[in-house]
Amino acid sequence: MKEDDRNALISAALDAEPVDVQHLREALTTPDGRDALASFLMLRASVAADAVEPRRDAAAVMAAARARRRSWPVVLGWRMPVGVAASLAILLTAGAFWAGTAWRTESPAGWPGQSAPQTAGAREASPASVQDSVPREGRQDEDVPPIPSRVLRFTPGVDWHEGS
Amino acid sequence: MAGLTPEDVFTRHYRDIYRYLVRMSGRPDVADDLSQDVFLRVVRALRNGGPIGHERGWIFSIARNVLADRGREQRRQPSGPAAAPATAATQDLAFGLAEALAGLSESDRDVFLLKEVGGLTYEEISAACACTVEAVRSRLFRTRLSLRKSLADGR
Repeated sequence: MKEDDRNALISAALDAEPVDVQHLREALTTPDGRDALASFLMLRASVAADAVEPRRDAAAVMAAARARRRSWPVVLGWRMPVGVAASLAILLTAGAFWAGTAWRTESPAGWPGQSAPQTAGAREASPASVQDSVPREGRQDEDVPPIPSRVLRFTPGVDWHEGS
Repeated sequence: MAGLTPEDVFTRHYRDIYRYLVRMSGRPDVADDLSQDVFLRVVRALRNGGPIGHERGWIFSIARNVLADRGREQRRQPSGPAAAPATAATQDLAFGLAEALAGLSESDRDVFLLKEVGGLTYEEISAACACTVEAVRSRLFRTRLSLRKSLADGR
């Protein structure tokens, strides 16, 4: 049996773990094995003699723990309004986004940048200029051509000449 | 477990839990705080009625988790008063052994103290540390050899 195996066996036996008794007997026949056993026992005695004692008795610790648990809402007091405010902000943002999306889907003409629908009467009453009807550069959201507001007629030979 | 009160459970194991926490954290004041946390978790666990199994193994697992949570908190706040010299808490222990214990890796010290202070079986330690019984056996043996060597060198 190797030294490590022997010492591992002795260590386990010391902990009252099941070991092969025959192997243990064999391990303890060697001086190193007996020395290891003595060292491990001394180590255990040293730890058992540890003089660290609790500074308070169990009752005091339990009372302190209960008092601390009761004070949690107070400790958390400043955090709770922050949490509620953060939740409200998130809800409001999400609600505004949803409302905006719904409005855009249902009435695209009402979206900023799009011309409002006009009645025929209104168009006659205040004809829009040609310039207003020309799509602005970069506007890609207008698939419908602009409604002509006035008609210009040109006479060949009068208003223009071929070859000029 | 009918009739098991948190007070009874905690009082039964308080002294050893405290010693384990002092040796692991290296600070009596931290061990005081952590002991309170252990009690609160015992209260919560018994109220929730989860499985307990072996009482001593169960409460040491709680202590171990509390310690791990504190370690995580301290890692998140590196500028806090986290790391104190282990010797502050170990003045009553034979100085050589205290030094030797402090020189162990955290996991080796954990297994060693769960065995020597907690008195847990290999199976209970393996459950607490999420490792095999064979790993516990091997780690304990190596730790004992390491302590034995440290103590021999210190003489």
